[in-house]
Amino acid sequence: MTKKFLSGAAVSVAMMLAASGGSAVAGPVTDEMLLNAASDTHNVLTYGLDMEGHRFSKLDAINTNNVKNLVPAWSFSFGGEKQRGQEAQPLVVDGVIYTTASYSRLFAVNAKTGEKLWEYDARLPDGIMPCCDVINRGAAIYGDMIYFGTLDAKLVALNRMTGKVVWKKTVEDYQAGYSITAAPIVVKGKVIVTPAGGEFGVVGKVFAYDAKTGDEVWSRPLVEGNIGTFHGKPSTMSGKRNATWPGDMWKTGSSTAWNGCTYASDVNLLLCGVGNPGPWNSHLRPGDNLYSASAVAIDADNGEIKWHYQHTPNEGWDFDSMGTVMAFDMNEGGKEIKAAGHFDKNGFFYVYNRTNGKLLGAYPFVSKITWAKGIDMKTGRPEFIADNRPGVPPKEGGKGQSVFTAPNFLGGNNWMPPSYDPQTGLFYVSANEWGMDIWNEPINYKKGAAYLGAGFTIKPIYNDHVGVLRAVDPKTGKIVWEQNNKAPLWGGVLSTAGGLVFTGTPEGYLKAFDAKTGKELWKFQTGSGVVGSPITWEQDGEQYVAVVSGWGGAVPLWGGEVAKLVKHFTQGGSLWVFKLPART
Amino acid sequence: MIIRSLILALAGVVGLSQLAAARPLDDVTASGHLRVAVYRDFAPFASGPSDNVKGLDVELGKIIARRLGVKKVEYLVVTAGDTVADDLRNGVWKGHYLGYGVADVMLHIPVDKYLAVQNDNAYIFAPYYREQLVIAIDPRQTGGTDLIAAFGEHKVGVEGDSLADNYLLGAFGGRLRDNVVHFHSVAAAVNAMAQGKVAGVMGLRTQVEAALKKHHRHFRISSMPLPGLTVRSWLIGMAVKVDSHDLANAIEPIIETMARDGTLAKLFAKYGMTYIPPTED
Repeated sequence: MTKKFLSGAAVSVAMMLAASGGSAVAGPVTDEMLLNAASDTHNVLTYGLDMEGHRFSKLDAINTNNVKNLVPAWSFSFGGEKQRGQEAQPLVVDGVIYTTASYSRLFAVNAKTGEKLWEYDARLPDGIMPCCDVINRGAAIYGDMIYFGTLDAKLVALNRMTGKVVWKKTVEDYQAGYSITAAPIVVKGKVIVTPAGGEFGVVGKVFAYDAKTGDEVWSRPLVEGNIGTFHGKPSTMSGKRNATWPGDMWKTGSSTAWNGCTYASDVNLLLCGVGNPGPWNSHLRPGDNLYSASAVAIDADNGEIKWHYQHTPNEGWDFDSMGTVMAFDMNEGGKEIKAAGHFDKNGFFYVYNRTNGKLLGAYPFVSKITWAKGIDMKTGRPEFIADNRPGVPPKEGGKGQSVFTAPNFLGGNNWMPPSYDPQTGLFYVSANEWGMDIWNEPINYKKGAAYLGAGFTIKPIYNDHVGVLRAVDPKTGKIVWEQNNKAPLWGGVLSTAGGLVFTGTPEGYLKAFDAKTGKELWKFQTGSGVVGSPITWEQDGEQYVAVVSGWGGAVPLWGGEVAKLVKHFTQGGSLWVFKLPART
Repeated sequence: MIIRSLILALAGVVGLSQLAAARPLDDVTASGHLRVAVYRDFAPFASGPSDNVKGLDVELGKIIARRLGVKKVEYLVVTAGDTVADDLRNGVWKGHYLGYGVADVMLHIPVDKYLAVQNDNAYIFAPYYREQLVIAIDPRQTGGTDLIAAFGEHKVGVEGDSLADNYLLGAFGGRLRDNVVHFHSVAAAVNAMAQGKVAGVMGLRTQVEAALKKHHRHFRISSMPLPGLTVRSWLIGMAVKVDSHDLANAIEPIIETMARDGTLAKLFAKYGMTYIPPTED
């Protein structure tokens, strides 16, 4: 990108802001604005729409009565030869939409006209090792800057007016297998970033960088026994070394928070969902293997762990707990409870006290769970079904007995963020009904060498659908309504004060449902699968809805019977914006 | 002929990787170059930067190209996936989704009937040596005992997430587990043994021997029994895309000749490794 182009872009943003006529005040985004993001209907300032990640908007101009009239305002193509999965949630500030796209790209687009203001393409080295497609889930905004993570595990800060890089930091070494796909968030002037990585030797960490300077403020390892940092110096150990990990395996225990954290401001805690431990075979690492498959609450100021709740101790199914951990207030018998909710890959919906991590409820949100009978509310631990734990050392020869396990390793819910609607008091979640046959391979090979691994094949549980959009009551775990979808659902959910729930489908539709009944009220075909997270905002007195479209992500990379459901979907890469037609 | 030269001219403009689909023999010889896939970070077979990769497999690729009568050889350096099935997909029959293209032939693919049946998009052939799992020990540290039980008291190094790692973590109901020390490579584990940090190293014979080359002579490869280890050795060959059979047919006699005339044995010796012909068990 040439200097000329960049300065040209700067001019066009300034001109556009002048022309937009003050629907929002142009200026730096402050901590206060971020903390009040839920009330600012003119902007979408953070991933999750507010710091808690509720994905709820107070706008009601588009509602159950008129949503059927919703039409496209414009569409913007990401262009280039690069398509693949588009899992981003756009942001809106001062009449500009910012969205990340596949291959670590970032776009600034005029929210009114759909004209491109600037584009940043990270130059990616060969040898990057993204686990599952070249996706990115979004950016963060603070001051005059915009921040996002790249597939080569760098955190980039750009001037949001010009698209010019202000600073760029190597968060982790991509050659060691790290990448960044999660959207960062900014909390009290610190950019919170959470690298991913599946290679041997990876240790999950949460990092906080000074938003202005890019200096690392603190880091917190998510494998028990590793030591964190504070202003460049060693701080405290996460937990106790060798308490839940044998030998030296704490040095390489994986457990990355690859889908990011939310922030509960009233308790000053980052709520982070942590991925699965390594190596895959749980029999080789007896112990709980903290903080894998857990929700971890971290003090936003110094990176200290305040509490944790582990969903799957000694995890052995690839049940990451990276799903959003979301603070919300639950009124029970006239008492306001400071709660947090989380849909886990393992098929259970958990509600805990966000001040201390105490379990308040655990409910199945998919119809078939084979690995546990339930969650013991006294101990807070799962009641495992021993025969369904994979990886039992194989007996001589043979393929070994195949066991059907549900959910499969892609989970009852995966990365896709749910929404919490304070009006209905319900959570809305993209769930999937699928399992896997899993067996011990008599022999497997890895990098030219024999290896003991498991073989698996993914299977739908029902003939006519895998995906189910569900409305769940956090007080009882009751499923209030559900809507089936043939292909697996892989996108985020949005709810609004207009009584609507929006989500996309791999078949290419953005859909709107009645938040109370689940009735489908509107749909629009975007031309490629929708696996991003929709947003809404208002501008010049009109309410807009936007979503990125572009089929991809982890689902098409895996075979099995599910591949048949998705193999005809074509790729794409565009941003769609909708509004109601002008009144005549 | 006209069409072919047009394609070649185009290749000069667009860059070879864009057009690098796995090709049958005719296309390879006509193009004058052979694209060989090797593993990234896999010393002593292939290591170093992608544009200057070095090692035994790199040399082997060069010899194959020369004996096919092809002047140029280029390398596709493949990052290993979870299993060899991923590598075959990324290396020869489909290409990685990041768009690196595919190679004409991929080296260091295990020759195994079960693997071949499960990966019918590739054709696996021409075993060029037999790989073994071994333990090297420092007898001064172990006190000279040749029993796996020694690692109930002494540390043993492995490359993380390897068969050796898997075996030692699980052996004897996990009794050795606390003494298993994990490294990123066999070479790093051997260095640790030289520093007295571990008393033994378990790993591939080739990698252990190549790493031992520069260390004390008193280290030796133990013949200790390894109870419960079901897989001790396997054949290493190569793979082409399933519709490039004729390329495989042309490479096969080249490898047979190299095994017979001592070229392979010499190549292995250069890296300090024992050449175990694919015929021996």
